[in-house]
Amino acid sequence: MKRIALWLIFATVTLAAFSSSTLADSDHPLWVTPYGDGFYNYDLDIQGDPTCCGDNPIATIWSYWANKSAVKEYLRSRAGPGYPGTGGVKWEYVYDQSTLWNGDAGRQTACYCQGGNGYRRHMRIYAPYDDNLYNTSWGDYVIASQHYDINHAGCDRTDCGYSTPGAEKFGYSENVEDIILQEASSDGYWTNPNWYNAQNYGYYWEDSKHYHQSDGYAATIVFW
Amino acid sequence: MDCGLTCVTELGGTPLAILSGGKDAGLVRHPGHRFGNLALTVAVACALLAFQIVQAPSAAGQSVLLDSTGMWTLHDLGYSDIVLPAGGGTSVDAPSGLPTRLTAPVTYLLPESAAQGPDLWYIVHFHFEIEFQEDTQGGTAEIFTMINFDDSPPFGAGASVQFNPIVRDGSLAVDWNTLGLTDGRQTGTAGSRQIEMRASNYISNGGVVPGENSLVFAVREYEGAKIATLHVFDDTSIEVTPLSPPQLSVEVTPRWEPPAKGGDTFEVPYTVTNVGGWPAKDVVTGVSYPEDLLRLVEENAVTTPLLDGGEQASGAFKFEALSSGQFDITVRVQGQTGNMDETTVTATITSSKDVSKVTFWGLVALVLAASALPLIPFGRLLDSFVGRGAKRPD
Repeated sequence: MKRIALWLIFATVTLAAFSSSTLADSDHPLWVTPYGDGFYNYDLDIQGDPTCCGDNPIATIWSYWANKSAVKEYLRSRAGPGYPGTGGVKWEYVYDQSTLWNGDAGRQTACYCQGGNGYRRHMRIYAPYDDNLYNTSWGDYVIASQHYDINHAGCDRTDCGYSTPGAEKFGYSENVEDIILQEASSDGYWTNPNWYNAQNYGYYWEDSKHYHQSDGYAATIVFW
Repeated sequence: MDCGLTCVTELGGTPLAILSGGKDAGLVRHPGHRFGNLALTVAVACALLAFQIVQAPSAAGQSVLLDSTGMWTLHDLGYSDIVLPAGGGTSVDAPSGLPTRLTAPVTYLLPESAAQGPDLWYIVHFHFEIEFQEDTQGGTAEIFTMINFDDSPPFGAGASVQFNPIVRDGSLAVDWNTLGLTDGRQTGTAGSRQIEMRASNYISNGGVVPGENSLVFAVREYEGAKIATLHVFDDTSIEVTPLSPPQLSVEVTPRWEPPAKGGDTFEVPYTVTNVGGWPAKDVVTGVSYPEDLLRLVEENAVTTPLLDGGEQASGAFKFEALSSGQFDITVRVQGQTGNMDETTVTATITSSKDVSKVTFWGLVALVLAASALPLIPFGRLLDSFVGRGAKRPD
């Protein structure tokens, strides 16, 4: 009898742990509270409803001397391909002394062709009032999501000289994070790929177009 | 060294300080900071050549040890006003590619046990004046403090202020904002090219290390904003304090005893505490609840202007239950300074419908009983009852 009771307790605890971990997918963004601040671990499709429709995992924290306009200006004016464009607006709900929504269209690379498909890399950056958050562990910081837009409008396979359109796909956040960290590192920034456990781990197709790819950890780029 | 030997800064037309260069212009002091890469080294060398630290430390170049609580001004640390002038070779090759200028480091020593909390905390109080160039355009300029700035951790951030000049109809307005743990978010608008400002903040953890620490003041300008001069006043200070950052906590006090009956009013009493040391400002306690099932009788948010470290504030949210069931009521506190906290309690409301059902069926029973009264042979019953004990006369 005692053994059965122990097994029941074990099963309950396991189920509870499993259900809480599965909460953190793009359909169920999780409110995370690093060092007294707060934000959802996915950016959101809709302003006003944090329980609905996460878009991409928060995967980068620009830290210490960052603010949103400076980071976006850096991306825009970066040498090389750079991130001259913008995309559609997504949202975050952020807390630092006050709680509010922040939207961003992000910065996006120009269209480029690779393996017969049209690609853009797209990063969205969030901070209260378009400024920054602050805590004593990360200094002045902003949070960001990033992803590929593949064969998306204006950057299709046909724009790469092929006669037939390609399959439209989005996501692959981890791959884009790797590239951004390489770029930042080559520019002279200190980076760390595993800075904060944002609890958004997962490698799976959300639907036929969106590939969720996250090791669960947000990277940092120490910005100045 | 083109900023010359006389930089005169004026406030309101009155000469504030006459700063001299040359041998006594602070180049005497070259603290042992830890800049690792070549770009930074060159940048700092340029910075050292291009601006003045007027007064060298008095004690033969030794950094001052911050060995007690209190305010340690630049003056106490052996420095005077610091001026980062227009132009000159002060720009650094920031990775961002955005025009960035740094002052030379102010250095000081911290005890072997130094850390950002839990016993002692370090705050930078930044007092400065910036002057925009006459030909500035709209854009962004940031003034910020960098502590133990290097190309590898630990990094230390502190106070920072963002300025957004806007030129409209030939006149300049400058919106500014700052965010920190001491004063929260502050904003304002200035109407002139010269802006004097004070900003404070708890230094981030990497900015407090045992031994020598260095403090650099930085200017970053882009999108058309052009700063002429940054003037750091020598009352800029590092404060050593036992007061931790403000931190708010809220609890629903135990005397609250749900359930209430449907239709009744009930209270959810709460106590908010600043469990930190530094004062929490503009503390707002609010409540969220199912609005179609409960009605809040009074205000749904209460503001306490100031809550000192360890201080408490109490209140109660009064509800009317509109329906039955179990409802989550979340009491949330947040401040202009002080982290957010919340607690959720469940109110169990007895169904008002159930209560009326009981009343209804009670009435039905009463009416039925009353209507049945004529059918009861009271006389016979009485007779038999009375007769049972008494002998009837023949």
